[in-house]
Amino acid sequence: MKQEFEQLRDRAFLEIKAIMSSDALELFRSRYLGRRGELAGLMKRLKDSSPEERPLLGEIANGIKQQLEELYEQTLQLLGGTADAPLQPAVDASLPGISLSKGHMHPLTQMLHEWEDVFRDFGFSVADGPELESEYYNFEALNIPRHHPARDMWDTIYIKNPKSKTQNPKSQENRLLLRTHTSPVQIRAMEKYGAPLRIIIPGRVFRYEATDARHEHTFDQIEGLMIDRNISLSHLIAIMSEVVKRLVGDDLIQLRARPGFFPFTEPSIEFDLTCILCKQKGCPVCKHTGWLEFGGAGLVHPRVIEYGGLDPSVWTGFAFGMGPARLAMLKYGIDDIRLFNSGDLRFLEQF
Amino acid sequence: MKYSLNWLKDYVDIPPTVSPKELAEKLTLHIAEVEEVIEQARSFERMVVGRIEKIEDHPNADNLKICMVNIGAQLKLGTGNSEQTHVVDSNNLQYDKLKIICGGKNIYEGMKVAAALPGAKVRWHGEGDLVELKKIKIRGEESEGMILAIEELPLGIPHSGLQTPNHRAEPVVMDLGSISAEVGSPLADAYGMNDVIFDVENKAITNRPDLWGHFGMAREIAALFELPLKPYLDSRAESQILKAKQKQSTDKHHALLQVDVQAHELCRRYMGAVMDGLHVGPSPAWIQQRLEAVGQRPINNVVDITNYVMFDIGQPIHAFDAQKLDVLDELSRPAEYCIRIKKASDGEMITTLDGVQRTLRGDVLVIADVQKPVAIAGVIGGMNTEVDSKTISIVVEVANFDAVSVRRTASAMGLRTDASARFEKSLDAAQCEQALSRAMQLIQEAIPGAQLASPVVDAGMWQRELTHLVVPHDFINKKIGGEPLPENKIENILNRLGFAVTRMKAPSPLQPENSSLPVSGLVYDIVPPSWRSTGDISCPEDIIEEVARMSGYHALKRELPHVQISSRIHEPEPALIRKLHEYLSMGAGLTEIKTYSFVSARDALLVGNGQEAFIAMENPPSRDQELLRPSLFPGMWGVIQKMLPMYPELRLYEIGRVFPGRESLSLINNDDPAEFMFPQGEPMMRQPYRLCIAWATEQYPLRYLKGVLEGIGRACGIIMALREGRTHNLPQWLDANASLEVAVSETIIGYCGLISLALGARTKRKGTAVAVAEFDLRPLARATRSVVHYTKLARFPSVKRDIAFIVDFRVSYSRIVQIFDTIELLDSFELFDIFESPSIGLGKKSMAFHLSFVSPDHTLRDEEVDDAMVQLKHALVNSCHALIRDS
Repeated sequence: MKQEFEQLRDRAFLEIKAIMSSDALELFRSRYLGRRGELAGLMKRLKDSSPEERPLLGEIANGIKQQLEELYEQTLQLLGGTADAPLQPAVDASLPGISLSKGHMHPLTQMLHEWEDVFRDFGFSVADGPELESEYYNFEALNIPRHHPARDMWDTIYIKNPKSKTQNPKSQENRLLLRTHTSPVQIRAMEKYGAPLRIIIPGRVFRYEATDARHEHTFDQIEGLMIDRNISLSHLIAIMSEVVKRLVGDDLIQLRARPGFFPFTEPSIEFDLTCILCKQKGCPVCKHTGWLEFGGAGLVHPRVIEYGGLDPSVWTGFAFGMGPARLAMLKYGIDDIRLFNSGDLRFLEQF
Repeated sequence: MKYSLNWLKDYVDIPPTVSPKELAEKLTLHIAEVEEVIEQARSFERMVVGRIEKIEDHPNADNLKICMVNIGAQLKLGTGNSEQTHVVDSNNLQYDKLKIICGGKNIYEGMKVAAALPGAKVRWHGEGDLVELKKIKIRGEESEGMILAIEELPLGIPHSGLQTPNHRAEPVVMDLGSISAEVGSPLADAYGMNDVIFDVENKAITNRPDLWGHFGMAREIAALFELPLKPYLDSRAESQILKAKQKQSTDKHHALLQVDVQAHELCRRYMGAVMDGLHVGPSPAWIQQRLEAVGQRPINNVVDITNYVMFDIGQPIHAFDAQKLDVLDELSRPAEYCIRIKKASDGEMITTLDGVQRTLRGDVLVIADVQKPVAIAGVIGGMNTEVDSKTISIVVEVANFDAVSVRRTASAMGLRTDASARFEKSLDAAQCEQALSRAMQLIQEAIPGAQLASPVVDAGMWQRELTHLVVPHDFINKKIGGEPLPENKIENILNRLGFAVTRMKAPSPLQPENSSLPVSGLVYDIVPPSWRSTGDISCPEDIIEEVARMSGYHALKRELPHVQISSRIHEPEPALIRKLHEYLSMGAGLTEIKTYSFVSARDALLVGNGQEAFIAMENPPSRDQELLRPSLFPGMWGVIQKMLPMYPELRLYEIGRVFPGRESLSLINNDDPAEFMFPQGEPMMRQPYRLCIAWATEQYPLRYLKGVLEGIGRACGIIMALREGRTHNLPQWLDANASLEVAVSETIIGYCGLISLALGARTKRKGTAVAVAEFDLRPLARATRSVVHYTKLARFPSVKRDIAFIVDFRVSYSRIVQIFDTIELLDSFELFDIFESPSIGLGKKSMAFHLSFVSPDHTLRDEEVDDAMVQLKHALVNSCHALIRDS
């Protein structure tokens, strides 16, 4: 008999957990707690039990009755109190998920992957080149002769010549350096693959610069190069504005082209993006201009095409370069560029 | 380069309807980016010149006074160039007099002061952020404004006449007694601070020497707004220099100037003249103000004027004190000055105007008199001929020096000057004349009595040369794209910029090398102006840029290109790296780190055996980053040490290039073809991509690490062999007794193992062990894909058994595997438990495996499996003295 009471209790407990409406609750009440309900029926049979058992069983029965009534009251209140909103089901689905993987990809890697994917959709392939580069590829072949003031645009880290005491003029002419931009891969790719060509080149670049919250001597760039026949400025700007819409995921984002100067492109342009923070209302980040600097680009200078081993009267092209760190900082509100290379997990685990 | 709006207005009448912001945007869209627009008057808004009429004691404060300040009637608080004009609101302010509470000690009745009205933005005591001034009660008395102390004046006021504020207990009120402005005038006007400054980054105009002066920028603005450009010189100044040049030999002069250009190739033109009757003193206020506006410190009238002309037309000018020049014959009248432009004698010394004594190399171009060098050409003048307060006559130099030579000299000396920055960009020799005329004119205006004392000399081999560019009309439109531009629009743009354009039907005979361009239809013969012909405009593409930027890139119709599909380039390494990122971060649950490509010499020692030559930099980014990283381990180790106190477990990886240098314990197989070449085809130093993985945890870090490596093999479709191999020639950071080689297709690509005991002892977290792997990615990228072969599914069911045994702890897992491999029916096995415990005996370990038996051709009977189990147990007992535990 004791078992019967407990079974009834367990069944009632299970059932009431699933009750989501007052109608169902009323059914529950009449079934278990009503005058002709199951509990009442069971209690009527108490008198059949032995006199020794009866007080104990009575206690159990009353206990169960009390519990069920309490549960009923509680559920009634819950249902009444939230007439329109659905009740929490018996399983609390709002509990936190149990994490399967605790891994994180570096925010810059994530960003580079996003960019790669977008450019791949436009038919660009990923190419790569050395970080330790020769002066020839980093400057000369990009139409930046040795004594040209344009060299000042890149503060360069040079490699020490191991035989510095017997420096011969030839090695002096072709010093090794850490590439200051991903642009040397333009020349390497033209040499390696010829034309037509559509590539992007993500990679690490270096500048001789003191670091602070806004400046880094080590950062990433993503470079692009398209070589084909009859490439125009209009093509360049069109592709970049499509890419940006995809990258930012916002059709309202606008790309603005304005004049710039790079020795390896002619004409050269700079791209601005509508400020993603203030949406052109004006904020300190965009210096109240509504525009953020996004990258440089231009039509590949005929001399650069020639350095790449191609005939500039046949082949034309455009190139562009951008820095993902700046965009990542804006996107995530990161206030110190040095965090990217810090290895600090408190930072990395946020991505 | 900073441009002053007032200065630009000398040459072009910018309509008042164009606001500074609009102008800045136009310049940004068509010429070069304006980084900042500084409206001087902005910070002076609602500040006026006032006079203290009456001073009374504050009833409730001993240190404060109540001042009645006259601020004049009919206030106008804006100024010419600022966008808005504020008029004091009569509802808020009592007219012409303000009651101001002031704590300054130096105030007196009748004192002229700078008064700030409510709404002005003030920096209290010159510290902190700008605060908007409001009417407030101070100790029960209303104050309607503020009398500014010296340090509370807005920045940008010329320094002359300002006492430097010291740290004082009480603020000292600024006394405007010396300023002529009337009571009530805006403070900005009183100081002449009504200019607007446009700041353009120098890098943006590297290719435009003509924009390194105001006249050049005015010319662009005139072209942009289709406004007339005023001539640089008025006709009076122009005729003066013409006359001075014509009179070269006829007239009587106080002085004669001989210019001997010996190094013709480095100095195309040298103009000079002697001026006397000078008095050196402060230059006129307007010159000082303009120099201050563009960030130059006024020095004296002669120096300021040379500077002024440089910022005016972009031509550096130098003035030598004529009396300090050595002459051939001291007694000759008129005095005969002799200037020589020549290469220095090797080892010659000169003390330059910055006070540094310099030894010259033989390739440095100098200006010399008959005895000594007096200037380093195009870079800096010599102290020996410096203009000082006693100077009464000068030799003015306006020259055109070779760009490369000036740049070489300046960088060799580590001395970049405003002059060298301009010369190195290759200047227009035609402008020398204009610059000299302007300098002479200004000196005569600024210094009463100053006069030209010699004929104007114009030396050098320079001749005006015209470049012709032949550019087909179609070429321009093809390169720009979008809607084609009509002929007259192209011509109009170019003409406005000073280019001469002639329409032709046939290719010009003047430039046959352009014959590869399409020449059907209309062709332009274009002659760029002299100020654009010094290298900037040299090919047809340069013309494209002029047309495109002036018509506006932002307005260009955007069209996606039509191209032929070509086979995609596929570089295996970037593809592998992408896959690894995804597997390691998403699959294996590791966190990617990025560390610098530089290490300290001390950290580099972790990597090798001390014998290697790592790659050093001439100018390392910092003192503890002297070498290129030969391995990813030092960076990883740095992060582990930093992070381990905060995290009980670490699972990290980094992918990046390393620079092993020469003769290190490199993993590089020298038979491998080099990845990159020098232009001459010689192989470049290796710089392979590596992957470094670290796993720090209390138990089995190496097993987790191996699990990751095996996973990489699966992800890449190859087998990563992890094998016990040589214990010598390991990097020092590895524990030789707990390391494995990582190999792909028999090629060793790296190592994995526990870190060495010495390093392990340095971790702050006791009980945590660290396992690290590092290996090259290139062999992995090139390894055969897809070693996975499908095996037919077993047709017969497998039989599962377990086995547990105790062996000596030195018996390796791999030894057990060898034994398992001898049992034919044993299909697969899995280690599910391993432990060491005193209860099973010292130096012993217990291992337990799940076993699975299967036969390819029949269903196994129990007896067969029993036999196999007996066979296995025997083998274990015989080969490694295993004690089989009862199951």
